[in-house]
Amino acid sequence: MNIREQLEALLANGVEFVVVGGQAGVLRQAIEFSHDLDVIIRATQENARRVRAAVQQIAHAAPDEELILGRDFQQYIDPASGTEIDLHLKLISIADFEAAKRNASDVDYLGVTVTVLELPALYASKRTDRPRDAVHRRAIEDRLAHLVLQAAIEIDDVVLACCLDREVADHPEVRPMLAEHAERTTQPLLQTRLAAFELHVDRLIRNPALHATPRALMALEPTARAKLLQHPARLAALLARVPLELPAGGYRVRWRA
Amino acid sequence: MDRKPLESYVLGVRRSRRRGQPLPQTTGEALLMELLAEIDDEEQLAAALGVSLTPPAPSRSHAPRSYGPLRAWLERSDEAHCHREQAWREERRRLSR
Repeated sequence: MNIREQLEALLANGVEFVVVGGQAGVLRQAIEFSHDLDVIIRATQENARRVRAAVQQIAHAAPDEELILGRDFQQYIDPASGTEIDLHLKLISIADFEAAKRNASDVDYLGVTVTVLELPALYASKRTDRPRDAVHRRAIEDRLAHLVLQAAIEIDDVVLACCLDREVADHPEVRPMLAEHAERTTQPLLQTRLAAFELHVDRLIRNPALHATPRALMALEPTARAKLLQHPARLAALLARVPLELPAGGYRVRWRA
Repeated sequence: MDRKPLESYVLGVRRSRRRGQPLPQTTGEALLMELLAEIDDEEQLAAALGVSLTPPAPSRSHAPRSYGPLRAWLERSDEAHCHREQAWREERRRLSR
């Protein structure tokens, strides 16, 4: 069963879900392939009954409703075809289904409309120690940078927190807004990127919401600083340790017409 | 190739695959010192072994070369799933002989 057919089975059974994980990255055109389907589900008895019916169709397994509602993560695999569906009740930075909905929007998967986590929330959910998640974070950074450079989306501190690098900083639309972000942004990750690339550090140091990590980075002696930042793997390791704050009301990338 | 036998995949919950764990919450100077200590340890080991242990960074080469239309993107993903399923079924047949 391919991903489209799995999504159809979930929809046909009336499951309340949001696509997350690598497949959300595929649907957002950041990641080219993910072997399985990860969904976060609403944790209600009624939805668990629907999920059970869908999992029976997809993986030929019949999990108890109590099990569905009792574990944060479950994995079901059809031994005949290898079709795999992973169920989540929560993710890193995404407390539950409702939080996922606030940070998601609809995507047309070859004629099937499904709700999919937005790239910034996906980025936040992939702050783990798993190497594959580091690659996925990088792919999301590249996708958002591409959209910024193509002037396809509105640029704000959430987007820049995910993708600011020297190329993005040099973009004519981005360059003039960085000074103000340095002074005002409450995004620790954007502050850290500004400090790492030495952009408006004179203003950043005056930011009343300056996070401890960019503050320490700016105070670091040059040799240690170079050690941390010069190699891309080191920089990626540092950025992975700084949180992306999703707005309480949720966040959706705003596309330009 | 290092692959688990198909028999290890069972209906129901599979617990064997490692999931990503949240990164520690350390911030500020403590975080930077932790990362610098890791680099120092690695450099000492690399000097002793005479090889570079610096990990490859996730790079642009991991990203698609171009993004193109969503429809073509998803069709390609579906096609890859068909190949994967076919390979799975063939391996299963081979192992059951």
